[in-house]
Amino acid sequence: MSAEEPNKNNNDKNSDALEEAFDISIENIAKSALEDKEKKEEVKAKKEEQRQKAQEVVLTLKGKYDIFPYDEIEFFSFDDFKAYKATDPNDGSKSLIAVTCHEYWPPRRRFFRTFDSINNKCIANLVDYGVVQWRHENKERYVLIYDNIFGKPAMTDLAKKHEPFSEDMLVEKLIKPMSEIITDFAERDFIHGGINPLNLFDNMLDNGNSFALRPCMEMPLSYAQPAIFEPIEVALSPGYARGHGHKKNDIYSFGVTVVMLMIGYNPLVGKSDDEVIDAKIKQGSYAALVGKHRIPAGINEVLRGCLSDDIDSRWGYQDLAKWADGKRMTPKQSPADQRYDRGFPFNGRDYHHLRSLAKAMWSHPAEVIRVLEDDSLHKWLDRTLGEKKVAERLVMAKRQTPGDMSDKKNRDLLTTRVIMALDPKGPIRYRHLAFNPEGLGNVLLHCIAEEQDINDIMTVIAQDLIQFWFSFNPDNYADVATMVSNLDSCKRFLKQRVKGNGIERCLYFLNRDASCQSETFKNYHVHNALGVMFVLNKIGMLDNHPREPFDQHMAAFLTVHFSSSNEGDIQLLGAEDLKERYYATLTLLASLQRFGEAKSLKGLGRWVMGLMGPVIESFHSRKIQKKIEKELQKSAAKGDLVGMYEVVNNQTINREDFLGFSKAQIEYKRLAKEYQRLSTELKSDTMGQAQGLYLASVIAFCMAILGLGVFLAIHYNFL
Amino acid sequence: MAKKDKKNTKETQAQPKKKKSFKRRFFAVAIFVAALSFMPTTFLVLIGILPSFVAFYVDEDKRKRGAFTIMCLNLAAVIGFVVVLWDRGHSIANSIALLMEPLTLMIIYFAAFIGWLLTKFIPPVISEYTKISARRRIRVIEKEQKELVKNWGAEVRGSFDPSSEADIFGKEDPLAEAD
Repeated sequence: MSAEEPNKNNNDKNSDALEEAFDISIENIAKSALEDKEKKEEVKAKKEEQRQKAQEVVLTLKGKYDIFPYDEIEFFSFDDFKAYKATDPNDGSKSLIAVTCHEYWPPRRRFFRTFDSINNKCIANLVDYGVVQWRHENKERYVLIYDNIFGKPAMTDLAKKHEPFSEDMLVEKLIKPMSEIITDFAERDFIHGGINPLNLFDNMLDNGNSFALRPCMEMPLSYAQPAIFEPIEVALSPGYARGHGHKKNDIYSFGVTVVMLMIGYNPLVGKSDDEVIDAKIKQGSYAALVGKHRIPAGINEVLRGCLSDDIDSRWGYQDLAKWADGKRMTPKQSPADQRYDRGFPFNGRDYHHLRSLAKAMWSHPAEVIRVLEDDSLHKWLDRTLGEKKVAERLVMAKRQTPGDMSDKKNRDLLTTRVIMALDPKGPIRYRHLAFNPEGLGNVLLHCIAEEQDINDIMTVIAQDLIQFWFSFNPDNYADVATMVSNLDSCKRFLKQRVKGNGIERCLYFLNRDASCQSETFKNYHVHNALGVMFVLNKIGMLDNHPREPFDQHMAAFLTVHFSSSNEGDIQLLGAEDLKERYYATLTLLASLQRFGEAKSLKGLGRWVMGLMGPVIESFHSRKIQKKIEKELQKSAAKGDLVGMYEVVNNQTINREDFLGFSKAQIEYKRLAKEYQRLSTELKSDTMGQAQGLYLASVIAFCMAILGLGVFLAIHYNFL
Repeated sequence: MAKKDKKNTKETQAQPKKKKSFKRRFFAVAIFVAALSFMPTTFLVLIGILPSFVAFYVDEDKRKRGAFTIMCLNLAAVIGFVVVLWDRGHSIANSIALLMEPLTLMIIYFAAFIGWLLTKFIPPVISEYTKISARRRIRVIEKEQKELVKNWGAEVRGSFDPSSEADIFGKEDPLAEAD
């Protein structure tokens, strides 16, 4: 009994504690559920409020198309790229879809014309595009309007299972029409970069007998393409950093799309991008994606051709078109990345593929130095594997990175070059950056827009990492010379300290599609030089505009997008002398107005007039100053910046002022000298004495002559 | 050779001095001879122009303008009496007689006195007049300079020494005394 009592007591205590804990947890759960509910209701109310607000709004693009911001087409919206219902008031039968662009990711403007020239029923027409004032959000957005031919999407979620396509359906509905589109793209050197089941919709033009492909012109190439749809070397970098890509990348994406639609789900579902890439490296893309699924022989042929990891043996658009026309071919067997039996131990694991090793090295740069210092990597490549070329590349990488390895920057640079040596086709990987050379512009845009550290990008440019990458990939890019020359220019821009240069100029130089990232333009979308002028005019109408119109971003943007003859004026925007700076501001704006043939820019006129003080004061004559101020005010009121420039730059007035001032200076100096002389003389007691004596002597002489004459006249009795 | 050259140069330098002294001596001898030849006139003139000699001796002015003023009138009077001497007969006796006449020396020395008066009173008058016109000119200059600054701004002064500007716009106003 005595032994049982304490046990009982303990049990009671435990049960009490449990009950208490249970009560607390129930209470907490109830509380959090209530909070969640409240939050959800709050969000719902907010959405409803926004919806009600938006319902009152109908937006227009160029006065031609009505956009209904309350009528979102959710199946077509993706992240910040929202799709809305749009109509053409002049053609009520036309169903349109308006897609808004991202805040800073630019649409593919340079390819709009090429895209427009593609005439295929499976791709929607790009009807129009431009900037729309999103009134209810008080922002500007760039909008693309497509013909709405989109029905039900082929897949809504890559993680979900869908009804698999039969072979015939796949061939008729997907492969044949898509081979035509891909041919159309390739013949125009256009790369879609977004072929995947999420971007395929039942084509409403033929009642869903074919698919309509989402054009994806509203975002950078490959921006939204999941890594599984990209070849290994492309998938290693984030969507925005993949560069211009290769025509055969579309073929690869198409192959993955065929696999998924055929089996009805993503065969690598649940795996991270890293795991997907690893699987592709180890097994090869075909084996990793198709696995043990039974594939009909015909389709298998297409998949083997499209999913080849070796770009040279991957099918081209002609091969696909031939297959669609009924010609059967045997695609070359593309081996997966070579597997070496003797792996290389790195960071506690053995690596049997160079690409996997390079990938692991990017994550563990400290270990890279160790394997380089003990020369184990070189020995493994040279002696064990007999990969003389790779070993040579490794030596080159080491030679290219001299200096103290205790410096982290040097270690990272060496790691980057070693990764390039091991996986030359992979992206350039430096610290947290991974990008293809042509993707550098987008990487820079991302860093600047997200206010991330840009020092790594500056190092990439300054240390010629991209040029080093090209030395291992001389044949991968058609225009290596242009790219290298562009990078050399960027190096020059980084060194120059004058306005309009620096990393901002590199951004707009490397990314011609990028909109101006100036803080002043945060609610506007400015993608060309005239846009700068018109938006500044709008801002000039507001009372809270900044003191000066141009900042570093605008200067750099105009250096790239405006006439090179104005580069001098742009540099002067940073002059210390306010007269020079404001004169350059006026000159530049006047050039823009003349170029854009804009008639009246009253906002800018008012804004610039406020800066004209130092320019007016640079004239010496007060009369001319008053006259010029009056004329400037007249032109500013009309919004005539060219007129203002002409007033300030009037050569006749300038000459008149200059000559008049020079004369006045000489006159002042003469007067000052005379003043000095007179004041010195006044201080002296002898002033005028000499003249007095001279006068006295003259008078005496005259008197002497006269006196002598009178004396003689009296003496000779003439008088 | 060098010694010979030095000798030559010394000779050439000595020649003009010799010439000069010869000319001077020649003139001095000529005047002395003339003075001896016209002894009565010389006597009258020497006595008559004594005030001028004194004035030349006393005058500290380098250009001797005061002495010149006195001499002009003094000499005019002496010349008049020289003409009288020549009319009476050119002899020492006549010369002494003429000098002994009280009016002769009175007229001669009064003329010199008039010259002294001119030297004494005209320069201060002229000096005062010059000062007044200088002050007036300074006022005009100030006005013109202010006008220039008003029309062209302070930069019209250019790189003019600011210390001298103090004279124009600053502490030491030369007109302060006159005002």
